[in-house]
Amino acid sequence: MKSSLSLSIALALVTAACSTSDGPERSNTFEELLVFDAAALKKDDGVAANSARPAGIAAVAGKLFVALGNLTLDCMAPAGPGYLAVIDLASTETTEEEAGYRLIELPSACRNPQNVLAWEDSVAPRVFVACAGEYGWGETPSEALVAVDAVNEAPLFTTVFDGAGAAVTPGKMARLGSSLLVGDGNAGRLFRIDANSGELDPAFEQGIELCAPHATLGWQMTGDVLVSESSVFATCFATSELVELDADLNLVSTRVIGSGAQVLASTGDELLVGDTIDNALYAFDLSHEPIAQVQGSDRLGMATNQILVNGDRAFAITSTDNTIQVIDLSKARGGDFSTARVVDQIPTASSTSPDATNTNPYLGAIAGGHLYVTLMGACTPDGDTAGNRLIRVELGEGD
Amino acid sequence: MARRLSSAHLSACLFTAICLLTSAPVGAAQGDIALDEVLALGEATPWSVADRKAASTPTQAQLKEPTGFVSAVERQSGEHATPADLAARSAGVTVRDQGHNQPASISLRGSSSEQVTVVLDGMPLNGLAGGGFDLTALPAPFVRRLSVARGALGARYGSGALGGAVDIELLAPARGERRFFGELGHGSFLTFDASLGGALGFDITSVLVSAYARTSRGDYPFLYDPTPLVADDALIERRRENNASQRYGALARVHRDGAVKLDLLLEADGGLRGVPGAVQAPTRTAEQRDARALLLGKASGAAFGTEFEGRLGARLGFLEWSSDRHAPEPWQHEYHVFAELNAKRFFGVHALELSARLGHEGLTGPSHGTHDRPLAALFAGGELELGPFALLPAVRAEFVGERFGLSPKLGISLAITDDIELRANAGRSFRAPSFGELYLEQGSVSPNPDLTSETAIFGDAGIEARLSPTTTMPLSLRGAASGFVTRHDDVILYELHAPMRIKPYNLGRALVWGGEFEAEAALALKRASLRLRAAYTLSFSENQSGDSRYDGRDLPFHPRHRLTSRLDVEVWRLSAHLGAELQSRQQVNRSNTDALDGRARIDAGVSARLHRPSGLRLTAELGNLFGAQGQDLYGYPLAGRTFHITLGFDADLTPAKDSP
Repeated sequence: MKSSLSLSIALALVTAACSTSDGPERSNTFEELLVFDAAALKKDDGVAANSARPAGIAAVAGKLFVALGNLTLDCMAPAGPGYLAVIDLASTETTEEEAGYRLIELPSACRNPQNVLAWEDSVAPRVFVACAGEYGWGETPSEALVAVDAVNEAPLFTTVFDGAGAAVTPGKMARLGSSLLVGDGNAGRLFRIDANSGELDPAFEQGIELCAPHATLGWQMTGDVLVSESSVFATCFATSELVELDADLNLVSTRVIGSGAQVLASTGDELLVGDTIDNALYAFDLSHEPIAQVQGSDRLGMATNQILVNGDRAFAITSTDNTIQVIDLSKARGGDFSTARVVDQIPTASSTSPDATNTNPYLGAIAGGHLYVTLMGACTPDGDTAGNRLIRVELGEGD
Repeated sequence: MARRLSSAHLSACLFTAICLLTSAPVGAAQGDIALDEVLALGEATPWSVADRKAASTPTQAQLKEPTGFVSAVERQSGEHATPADLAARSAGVTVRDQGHNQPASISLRGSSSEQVTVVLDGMPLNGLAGGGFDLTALPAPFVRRLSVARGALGARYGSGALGGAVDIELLAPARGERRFFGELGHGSFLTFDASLGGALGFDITSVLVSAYARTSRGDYPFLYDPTPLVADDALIERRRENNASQRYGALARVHRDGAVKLDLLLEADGGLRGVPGAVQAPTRTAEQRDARALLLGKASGAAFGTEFEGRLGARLGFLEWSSDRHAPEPWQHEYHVFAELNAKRFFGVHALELSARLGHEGLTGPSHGTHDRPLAALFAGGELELGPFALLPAVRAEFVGERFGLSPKLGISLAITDDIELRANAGRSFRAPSFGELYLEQGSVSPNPDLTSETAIFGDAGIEARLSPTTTMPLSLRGAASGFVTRHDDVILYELHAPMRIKPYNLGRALVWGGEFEAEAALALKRASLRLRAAYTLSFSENQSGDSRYDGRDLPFHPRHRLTSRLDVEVWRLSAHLGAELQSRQQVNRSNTDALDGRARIDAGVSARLHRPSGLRLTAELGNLFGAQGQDLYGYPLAGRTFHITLGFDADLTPAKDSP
């Protein structure tokens, strides 16, 4: 489906020539590539207003795929079907022309798409889209997983977790060989799916229980999933546990770390764990068996949504203070993580936005030397005006 | 930025200085009365004759808790201070301040705001949806004085007073009084306020009426750091947006003397304010509107050797919050009514007090539905004088809807000399869940109708000493030192219970302990007076929730040190004050990984009595003298330096025979 409405290329180069006392001078800017137009998205009967609410993003086959939640203005429920916006990376390389996007409407079983995973494949590149639906609270289940052909831009298959007992909210995903691992945002479970057929691994049809529910609150949530060589890592948010599995998904270790361990990223030799309650960042040495925590922790200041690693830089997208933090990993390695880390922060407020402040940067993807970040906007009618955008940040390697 | 005075500020200061220098002299000595002995700690130097007389009488809260640690603070005529500012001068208090024009509630001895009961003539003011009472909502000129009573005081104040209670006394007419008073003020950020009132006494009946209005744009400048983790980068100057406020109020009181004394109080206030949101994510169109009306009646007299007092009260509250002021949401409304009968009989030096209270409260709101619950309480208390000892047992049995709670308390005092007294108290209280905690369903917030009551047990002990002035030494000194410990159980906390959903649970358990110190010195000469007072609180807390992630850590929003002090000097027709507040850093989360910095602020003011018969007085105040930029609980920068000028009059036309 094509968008018939206008796109905006704003070239708002913004702000912040920032420096640190021990870091090099650099000027961080971002480009506002486009605005997602909610008017192009279908609305359910009775829904007065909707908002595109861009969330997960992935790059594959020379394209960016952005999940559009198509939610009500308060973000509490889907306003209509979910979409994938497709942007040709080549079209973003110039600021002389409008960057365009095409829309893929997702099946009705998959609403409120949140996370997107790129599946590189020389023959059949695709993206997997995890739909949170109504987190198991809706009358009609709409939590599912959809595979989309990245070349033909069409859904391939839909995986519904109807045999898994309690409602599953597919969340973060990771690739393990030819399998797709899917964390459950409604329990401490992990599912394995055949990436070619979409079939649930019969051995784990009920999912693997990574962590028991919180003893008092009675719930659990798989915060993130990450595969590093032959190990699988996952976090359980409610009990703040970091779980390590082997390639056959056998439990290797479990430990409590911080107060709200959630976000995972790998630098190659270290595992980074973002704690979204303590607003901290922990590092684990992957060369140890089981992995060992590196002394110290880093104060992120605000809860991070996602950490992306590119070379010796880690980018922490923090929607709570509307910044993208840049961490110099070369200074953090092998020592106290908090001593030399922040190279810069990039405020995402755009001077051209009608309401520039409340951008709510949500999730990002790295492609072609750039970091692309979705701006969801605050979940109020007021905040919506600064969101619904895609921005591009120069990675600035080597400085 | 805020640290620099604008031309408007400078003009105002210049105007004040000129007025002080050119005001006509009037007979000053006549009004320079030596201060009466002051019974309450923390009292401010009163300005007017009527206020001075009031200062010598114990507050209602001090009478209720004679063995307790109760600080009383007077509002001075012309003083630009909200009830929250007044309460902040007491020991044990932490103000949860959301900034200029925004709500401010208080915490006592490490409690939450919900765990502090705010009462006005026996009527609890806490909103039924929860969240603690906003002490800025009550028009400041209506407030005569307030008391801060610390401890789990449910025996006297009923469900809710786990940290203590704030007992507010409004202006009241005196017999035969003829008095007219008013204030006109202007301050920073386009703030204007005015009040006008009068008191008339007819034989045995006295009437007081007053009206109040205030408007403020509140767009104060502040320095914003968009990259807080980057050292030494440039800050951006911003102005707080959507922070305007308007507030109106009216007060009427009638008092009739006689064998049966009658009191009637009607107070109404309301207004609207912008809701500015968080500093990283401001809300430019959100707005809150509210209104409240109180009707209280009291009859008291004696019969059969027993003092009787009956009270009737009704409170109506209205609240509307919308994210877009152009698309208002339906109003939320609530009511609380009660009837209370109290009897007190003396047996020599001993006394027995019994009371029964029945009530009903209900709330209807777009996110709550409609809910109500009956209220019933029985109270029994005694005062036993055993030589130098006084023993005060008390217990309240109370139903809040279907939730029952028992609140016992025992207070002991030992008079070592006439001027030195030891005191100790122990008790238990509960707080029934609010309608908000039980029924609020909005966005990501889920209700929990299965909540049980929070409880707290406490103990405190201390000493109070005083040195009274003599004819040769017009100096009075007071000092009090106490230690306290409170254990909170089944504390209601909002927790994530599903993705994007939070819900209240009875999860928390905490221990809070520390010390409170208050000191006051007053020197009263014929044409001058000086008063210095200070309150210091040392407080420790420990999370004991049983969750290994938080156990043993400090409670959030719980500064360890807090010191307030104030110096008042009055010479001839001029007076001045200098106040200081220092507060140490406080954690903002349970895991103690993030904290708000400590803060220090200095306030100063001068006042000149321009015309004695009319009580005309000009007061100029500078708040936050050095422009220290603090933060509210959510990290939003607070206002820097502020000014406020008040021109007030207080004409006491009471016939001479009643004059002092």
